[in-house]
Amino acid sequence: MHSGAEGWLGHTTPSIGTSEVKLNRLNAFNSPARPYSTASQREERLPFTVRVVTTPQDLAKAVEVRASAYARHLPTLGPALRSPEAEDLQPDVLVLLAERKLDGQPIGSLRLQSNVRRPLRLQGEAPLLQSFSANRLVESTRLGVGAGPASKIVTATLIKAAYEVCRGAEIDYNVIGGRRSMVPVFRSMQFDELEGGPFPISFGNNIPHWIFVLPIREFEARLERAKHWYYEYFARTDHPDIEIDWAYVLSAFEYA
Amino acid sequence: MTTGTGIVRWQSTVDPTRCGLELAGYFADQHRLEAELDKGLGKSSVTRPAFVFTSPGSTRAEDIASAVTRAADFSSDARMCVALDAEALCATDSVVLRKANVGILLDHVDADTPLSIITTDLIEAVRFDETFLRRAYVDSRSACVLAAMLGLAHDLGLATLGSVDEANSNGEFAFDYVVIPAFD
Repeated sequence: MHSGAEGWLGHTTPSIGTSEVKLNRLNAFNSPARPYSTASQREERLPFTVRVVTTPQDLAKAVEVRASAYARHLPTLGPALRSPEAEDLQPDVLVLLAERKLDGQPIGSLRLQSNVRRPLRLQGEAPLLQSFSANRLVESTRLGVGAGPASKIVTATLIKAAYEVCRGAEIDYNVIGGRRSMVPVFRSMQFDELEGGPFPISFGNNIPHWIFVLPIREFEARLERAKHWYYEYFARTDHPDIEIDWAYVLSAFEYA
Repeated sequence: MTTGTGIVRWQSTVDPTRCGLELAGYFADQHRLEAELDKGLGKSSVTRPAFVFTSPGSTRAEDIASAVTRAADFSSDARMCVALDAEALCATDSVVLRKANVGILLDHVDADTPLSIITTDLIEAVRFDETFLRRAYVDSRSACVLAAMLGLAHDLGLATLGSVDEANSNGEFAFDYVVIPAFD
């Protein structure tokens, strides 16, 4: 774990993934503009917040819900996820956390890794991904939602936050891998399937995964064309409960 | 659960270190309410409540607005919430609710509660009506309604509260919080 600066952004505890780069950029960023081509038509409050993890306490919550969610689908992997993974602590990694307002219960998390400092882990698993290596990429992993069946709104809000993070940091493509059960989900979200799959993922117990790529700048238009309900939820609805710490995000993804 | 006065403790079914307090029947008397809250917090010295809620016990808009203001004025680490049933929620000016940093718990949810009310964006939790729950434990169609409502609440990210009779529910219905009867 990196040692964080005391009092940085109000945190008195060590920050996760803090680096000199992040600290040096704090005074040199502007919050990105709203990343949608259409005006918002409504504001909607949520019973939970979604934010970027910046403290060990937040990370512990994200790990808690991730382990719980994975234990349902992959019982053998669940116990191994009860502690933070090495990836969680890397400075080019962001973890998003959904937390219930009522009681602070974590109800969802998602991890984002950029390729600004090193290749994505998936790039070593699928040769075709190498053709994207000149682009700014973010890999979404470890989506975990709730103790019961995955909540549609929590999932959608985590993905909306991830999209806004990617747009704000001018990421070109989002890359995601999933088991067979996730294939229709990614297709419905207008991701492009990488040819040659499924790919056995070495860091996923060699379970075959399908890999998908999404051009971030096309996401909104694709959702609109497909008449996906995410379009209204993303582009036409403001969610003030998505709280993105842009200083943290932009320094993690080395956006200047 | 909301008749009379008293403190009711709600225990998380996921995390035993999390609990909430219901202060029943005190909203007409601000001083007694604060005293009871102090009493409740004192008894929860080991497990601090994550949330505290109470019901205004009225469907009059001005009573509800007053209850929301009082809840907003409390200084507490716990999330302050006001419990409103569907009728009271509909009678309330949403601007009042949006202005206050107070959570809304939809109360007395049963088979007659419109789903559109449950999806109202200001709601953070739902509490199911005890009579409805007792019926759902023995009646298959009511059980289906309850299961659907729990699924909806879960999809929306809402917390669910239910006073569960374990012997009758067979663990079929998973609430986020269940009542612990004897807190005093």
